[in-house]
Amino acid sequence: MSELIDQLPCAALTTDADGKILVSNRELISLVGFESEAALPRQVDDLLPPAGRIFLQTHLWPLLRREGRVREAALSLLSPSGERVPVLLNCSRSAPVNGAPRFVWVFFAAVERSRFELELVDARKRAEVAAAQAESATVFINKIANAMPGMVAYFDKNLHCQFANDVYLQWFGKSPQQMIGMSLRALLGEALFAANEPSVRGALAGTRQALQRSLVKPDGSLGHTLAQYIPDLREGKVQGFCVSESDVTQLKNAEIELEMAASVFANTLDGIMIADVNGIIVSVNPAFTQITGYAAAEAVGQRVNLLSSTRNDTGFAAAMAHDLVQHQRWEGESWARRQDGSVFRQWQRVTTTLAANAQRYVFVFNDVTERWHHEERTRKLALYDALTDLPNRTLLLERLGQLIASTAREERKIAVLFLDLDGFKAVNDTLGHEVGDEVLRAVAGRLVGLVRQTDTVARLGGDEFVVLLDNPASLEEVQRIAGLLVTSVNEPIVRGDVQAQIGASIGIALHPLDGRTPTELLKAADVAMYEAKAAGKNTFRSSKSSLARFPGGIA
Amino acid sequence: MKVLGESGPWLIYAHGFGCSQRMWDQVTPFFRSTHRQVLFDYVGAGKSDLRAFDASRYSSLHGYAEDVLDVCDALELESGVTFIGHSVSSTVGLLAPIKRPKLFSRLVLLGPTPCFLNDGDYRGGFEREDLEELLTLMDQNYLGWAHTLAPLVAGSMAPTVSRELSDAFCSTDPETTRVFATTTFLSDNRADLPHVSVPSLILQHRHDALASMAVGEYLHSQLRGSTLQVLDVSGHCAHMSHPKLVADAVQSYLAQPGT
Repeated sequence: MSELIDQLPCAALTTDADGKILVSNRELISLVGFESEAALPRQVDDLLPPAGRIFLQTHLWPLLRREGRVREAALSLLSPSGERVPVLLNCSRSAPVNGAPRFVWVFFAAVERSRFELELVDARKRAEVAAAQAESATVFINKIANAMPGMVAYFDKNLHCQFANDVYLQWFGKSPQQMIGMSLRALLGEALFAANEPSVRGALAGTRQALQRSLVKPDGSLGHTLAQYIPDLREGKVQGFCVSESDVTQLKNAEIELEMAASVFANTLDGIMIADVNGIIVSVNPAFTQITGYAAAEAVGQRVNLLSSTRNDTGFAAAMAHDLVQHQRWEGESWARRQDGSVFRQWQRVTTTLAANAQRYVFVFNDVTERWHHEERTRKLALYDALTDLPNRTLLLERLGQLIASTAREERKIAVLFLDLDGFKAVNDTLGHEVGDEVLRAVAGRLVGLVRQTDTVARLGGDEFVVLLDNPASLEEVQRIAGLLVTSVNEPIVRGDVQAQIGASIGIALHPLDGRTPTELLKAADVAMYEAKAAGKNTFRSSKSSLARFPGGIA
Repeated sequence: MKVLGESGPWLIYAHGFGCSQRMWDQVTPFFRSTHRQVLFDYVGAGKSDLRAFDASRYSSLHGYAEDVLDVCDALELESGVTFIGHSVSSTVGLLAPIKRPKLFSRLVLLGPTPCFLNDGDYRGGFEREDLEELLTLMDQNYLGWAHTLAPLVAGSMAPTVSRELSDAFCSTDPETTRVFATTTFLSDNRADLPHVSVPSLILQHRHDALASMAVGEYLHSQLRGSTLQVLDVSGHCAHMSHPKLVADAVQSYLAQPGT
């Protein structure tokens, strides 16, 4: 046996069922690099490095025991100097000797093959790494495509979908499994596909396409998209095209709203003026031109005070500016001036708004001049005597109240002169109402002519008048004026060929001696007037309190 | 999973790395008339269902111990089970009763080692580089020419390619076997030993390239209630090379009155 095994042209040995080496040959000794057979270990395990021993015990022995043979197992033998000698092992169970099984182990030096195998194993590992990297690159690209707000898809030249990002899938309500491989025609439906076909052809011909579409989404709502078909060219040939589509539904809706807003701007009867943050007019509407006479080209570029009227009091502009700063809006009536210089009453609302990050002032106004005149007339009817245009009792009491109120802030005297005509009833009865009215108007004119602008002449009704003197110098001054009033009334009143002569009795009351309220003062003056009547008419009397304060002052 | 016998106490066999339940085929006949015997494959070994493979579960021997408990649960076993494990499965057999002490009455550990790696004074017998070399060796032998080239040519890493491997080895799936190899040879369960309360029989091969006498003695010193019995054989798989020897040892151990 030993001799026979030595004849073999390859390394070989025999073991028992436990792996104990029974016989080995010279080829083995020289292959592994042992000095002599004596140096050879006793166990086949010890010919192998640790990894080989594990493999032997966990893989080869189980196989040998079950199958009785092992073919071309790759192993390394361990040389005495610790080097690995790559070998291929064939091993088989031979006929038992003395009832004990024998195993024949043949090793083929496999330096070249083993190196190639190791290179293959290495190449496989590299391929695995490359595949993993490619996969992670795909994952990365998907991540980016899915992070994009727009729809991204790729269709090959046969118009089959090869890629679609999440947004694209969502728009069409498809799963990736449904989408990939789906034809564009099936995806869009016949009608839409027909509409898009020219663009598809263009893209397949290598030209980038841009198109706008309105379509009903799977959820039933109407959407608008802006699409680009970008051809995928490789070596000059179109391989397919990329679809990059933006959902412009909101933009489109905003555009529609903008169009509506523009239409309102153009057609409303309200004048609209838009100014920038520096108060320069940037836009006006047709109604603005209608109301103010300024053409748009004339108004734009001007300051917002283009329409300002001096008729507004000085506090008006400041109040508006204050409200705009505090509340971003102002609303109210004011006077404005047209291009031709005429003044009109405007009701105006001013708001500040942010448009595209720029602050804007929006002035919306309309012409309320007519209404204002109407209201003025109404107001006048309520406060003025229709016959004489003098303030009536209501306005008198209001002004007297204001004067009294002002005494709280400043030193101020107030005199109330209650005047009742003497002999007016006779004129009325004998010469008629028309003359009577003439007489009343004439008296009114004379009274107004004798007092200052700051004083007030009012008609209470009938032949009763009241004169308010604002801050007279003294009681003497008041009495002097009262005297002038009487004299003035006594002058004959001539209308055509009719002549009337009347007298006047006047009662004087002073604030605060004769009363602290308008009513008290009027009452005191009225009482004093009756005293003048009692004293023979056509004269004046001061109230008793005034006399007590100013003794000897009596006329 | 396979159950042999219809009556008697339960024996559950767990195979080692690189093998399947078939490795016990020569031992089970000795117990056929006296015991009910359970054989199973870990996921990835033998004819197990690969879909059940979970790389993170099997990155620790605890995952394999859960497999053992799952098998016992499927049979509704609650107590009195004798666990027989080979090599790395001996360690699995030590972990299972820590999780479920009442289930097991005895452990038989064939060629056990709690840690294959050398660590200070502890001589497990192997270094980390040896594991790397083993993995390469497995790649060479599992994949062979066709399977080394196939993924390169096909440009695909499709798992179906590797499943068509020759089933010459007991473990048919190279990927799960790699995981098992890594877990087997990198696990260190020495710290678990004091927590084992079930009595055990250590069957130590006299000349074992994978689990030395020193490792067997170390285990014996760390395991309470353990019996060390040396089988006068070389190798790591006495249940295959000397099945009667193993069966006799187990039978006489089980014949002893329970502790």
